[in-house]
Amino acid sequence: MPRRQRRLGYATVAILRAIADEHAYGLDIVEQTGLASGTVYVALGRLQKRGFLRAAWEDQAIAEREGRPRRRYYALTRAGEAALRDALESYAELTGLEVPGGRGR
Amino acid sequence: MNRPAPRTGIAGWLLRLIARLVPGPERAAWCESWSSELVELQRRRRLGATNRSPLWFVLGALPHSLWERKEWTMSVLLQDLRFALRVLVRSRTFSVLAVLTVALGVGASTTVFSLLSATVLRPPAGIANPDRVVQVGRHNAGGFDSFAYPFVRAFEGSTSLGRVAAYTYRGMVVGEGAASEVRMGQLVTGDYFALLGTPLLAGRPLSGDDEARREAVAVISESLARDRFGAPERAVGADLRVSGRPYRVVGVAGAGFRGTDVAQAPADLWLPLSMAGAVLGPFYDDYDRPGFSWLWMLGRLDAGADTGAAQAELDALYAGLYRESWGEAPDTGVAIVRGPGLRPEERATLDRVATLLLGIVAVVMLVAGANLGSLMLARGMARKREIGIRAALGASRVRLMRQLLTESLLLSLAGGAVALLATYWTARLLPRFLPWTLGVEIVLDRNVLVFGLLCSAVLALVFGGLPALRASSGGMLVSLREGDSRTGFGALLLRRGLVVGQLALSFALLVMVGLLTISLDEARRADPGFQTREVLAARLDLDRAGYSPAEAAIFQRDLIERLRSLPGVEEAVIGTEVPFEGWSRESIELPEPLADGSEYFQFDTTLVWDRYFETLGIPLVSGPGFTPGSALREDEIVLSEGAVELLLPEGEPVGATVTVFGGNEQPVALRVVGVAGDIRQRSLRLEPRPAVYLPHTFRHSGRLGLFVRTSGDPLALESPVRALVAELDENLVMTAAGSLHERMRGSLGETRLVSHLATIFGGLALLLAAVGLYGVIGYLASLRRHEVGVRMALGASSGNVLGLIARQGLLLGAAGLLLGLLLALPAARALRGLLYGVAPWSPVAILAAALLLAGVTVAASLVPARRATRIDPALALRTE
Repeated sequence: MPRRQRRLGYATVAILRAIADEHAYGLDIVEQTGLASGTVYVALGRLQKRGFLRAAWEDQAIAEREGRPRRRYYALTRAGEAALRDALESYAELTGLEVPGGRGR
Repeated sequence: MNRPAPRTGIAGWLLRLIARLVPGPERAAWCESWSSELVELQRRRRLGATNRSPLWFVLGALPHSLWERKEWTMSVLLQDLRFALRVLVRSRTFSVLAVLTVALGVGASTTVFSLLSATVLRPPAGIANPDRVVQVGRHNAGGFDSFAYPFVRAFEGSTSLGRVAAYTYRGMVVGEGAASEVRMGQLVTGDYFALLGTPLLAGRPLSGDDEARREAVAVISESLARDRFGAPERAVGADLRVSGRPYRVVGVAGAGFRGTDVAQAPADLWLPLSMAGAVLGPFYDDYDRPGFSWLWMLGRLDAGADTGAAQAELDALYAGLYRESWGEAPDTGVAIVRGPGLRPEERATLDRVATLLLGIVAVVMLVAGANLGSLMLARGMARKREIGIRAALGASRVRLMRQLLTESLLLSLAGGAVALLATYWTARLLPRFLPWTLGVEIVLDRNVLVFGLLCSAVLALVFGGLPALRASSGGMLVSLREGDSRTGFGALLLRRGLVVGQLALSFALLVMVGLLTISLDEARRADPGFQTREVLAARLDLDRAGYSPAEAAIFQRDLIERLRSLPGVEEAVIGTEVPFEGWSRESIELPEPLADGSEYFQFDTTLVWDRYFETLGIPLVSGPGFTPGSALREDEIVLSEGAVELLLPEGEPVGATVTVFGGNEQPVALRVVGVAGDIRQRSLRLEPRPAVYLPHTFRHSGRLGLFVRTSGDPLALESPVRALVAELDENLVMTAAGSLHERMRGSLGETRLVSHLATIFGGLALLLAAVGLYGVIGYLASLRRHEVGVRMALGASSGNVLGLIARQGLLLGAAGLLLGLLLALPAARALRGLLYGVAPWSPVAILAAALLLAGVTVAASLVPARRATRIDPALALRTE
């Protein structure tokens, strides 16, 4: 039996998209998507629980070299990539437009 | 990580405040990632790369922290649950024992509660908005009485009651010949179905037109429709014979409707009230006379009207018609009861018995709960190490307590589920124990379900909570350091207390069982004042079968003659009343008013045939009795001794005259020809009531009691008698056949019901208490292994050791007995009204209970004590 796939909302897709475009730091994602910080962080937590994202702390040495606290970086998992692709395809079907980068990654 | 925190101003302060919402284990990482983001934001602002407000940004941390908390709580709950399941599955014996204990306690309660739910909490099925339906009764000395037909019509003028209906219940002969059977039926006025709002499966309800035009039509129950016609749709339009006459079925009642009275057998057919004469006999042809009270009334409150207004209005209507009919004001008024189902006195009986039973099962539940508590405490002690380690590894007390509570809740709910499953069957079995007929089904409904789950939850919290509180307490840390047995002293005290409580409660139940058993035994040997052994009694209703008074008289004479010539029959007779089943009353004017000023007295009245007193063995104290003959003289009367005291307190009663109202309500003077001994006709528990015996020729009655005396088993005569009746008239159905003696014992039905259940539950409670005691003594013995080893090494005999260990059990038993004596007092007092021939403080019952408790205490203490004597001292000393 295929698992029922829950449709991803706009905010989630935007966040996945931002991370796929290498904006993998919290503040960057906030800036990129223009979403409220609360929305973004709760969504990041949820996506991690669903196995779409993984998070990792930056190396302490790099942070110290740059004189700032270490950052928490996010990256898509394979499941996250697939989910983003599906979501973008369905958006494309909806609008009838070809979405750049939506296919064949 | 131990770098100084960057300066982040108000936003940083706000962030630290919000961080407190994040659950402890997650907090550090959460803080670090948020403050890193904040520092980065402030850096970019300084560089002019963004104009995002840091304060606004940090506010986003609030939903994030709340989300983290929710996720964490869920995961911990799941974790607790999974852990509890694993622990419980691992210690299978303990779990099964605990679940069964809870199931016993809760199952007993839900079974008894299902009776209350079906009768009191749930209105009868098939009634729309039952809370707007009221029962209307006549305020009488006896409480709540029926009305004569004209009053029903008068009440239809009420404005606060939108609709008014009246009904009566009667067994009716349905079908003909060999296929005939007696079904409960109701005669109803035209608005009955409209008032109740009962939905129909097929056809239409009865209407006012049916009543006015005396239509031979009927509405029948779904069950009768299926039995007789196969399906509800096929019943409509078909003919159904009732009392030998066809009725057209016009409708089939739906929604499980079986009548409005909970204390009547479920009804199967409804006929227009105007058919009363045709169904019940010619006596009912003028059923609408004002002096004939036989109808129960219902009303539906109009929107906005309340019972107070309805009462005032009906009182006025009642007084008006009463004055019109009798020329004087009534000395009684109208009583209104909210909700259909049970009349006030029925409700009172049920409440009394149900409260008693609920009390008994509550005791069982307490004893079961104490066992659960004891088990949990024992396990708490056994798990000291595990809990100590978890506490040392940083589990907070709240966390440990929640874990332990989750376990007890899981056990308790599993027990509750088992109990509810069992109740599915026990609720169906319950009616067999009940001394009453019920018009409703006792089932596992939503009320019972909620009640059962609530009981289990309370058991878990109360009896699982205490041990959890103890086991999770800081003192447990000690257990890591000391491997010895001195810790958990408080838990042991608690366990002892629980056992004493169990023994005390069981003792109180045992005293109750003793009292009830003595009552039933006394009843078996009781003398009601007449012969009950070897007498077969049954009922016949000639009116219902359509006999005219003249036909009935011939039939009755034939019946007695034929019965007397049956082989094995010593005596046979008929009379109108069957003892312990019902009674008729006759109002007779007294020579002197009673102390309460009443000038009339209601005497228990029986119409009798020749040789009645001889057959039933009622002694004639003086006078010759009725002049013998197949038709008695209609101007004679026999009084009971009690009746003589009231009617003829002075002078020789035999030969005096007594004035009784005849059939047409004219006074008739009757000559007293005998004084009969007093008898207990209504119930063994009730003192004999003053009674009068009238000759059958005084007035017609088609309702007969049939009495056949034999020298052997009266039940052996049932089928010959039944065959004889069928031979005389195949449409006549003999009902309620049985031994008069059994019927007498049945008059203690409530005593028997409570006795049966008290015996079952008392036995259960004692068993549970014994298990509890056994567990505690066994544990105590294991704690004292070392000591016992030393003693034995120093030369103590096994007898000494046995006494040492068993003494503790006996002490607990003695404490339980003392406390139990205190509890037994109110318990016995609660039984008042059910006891017969025994005082509530009967020393026999108390002694018997004490002996039983002592026996069980000794047994439960000796077994573990004996095991202690088999300790090998060398081994016991070495393992320490």
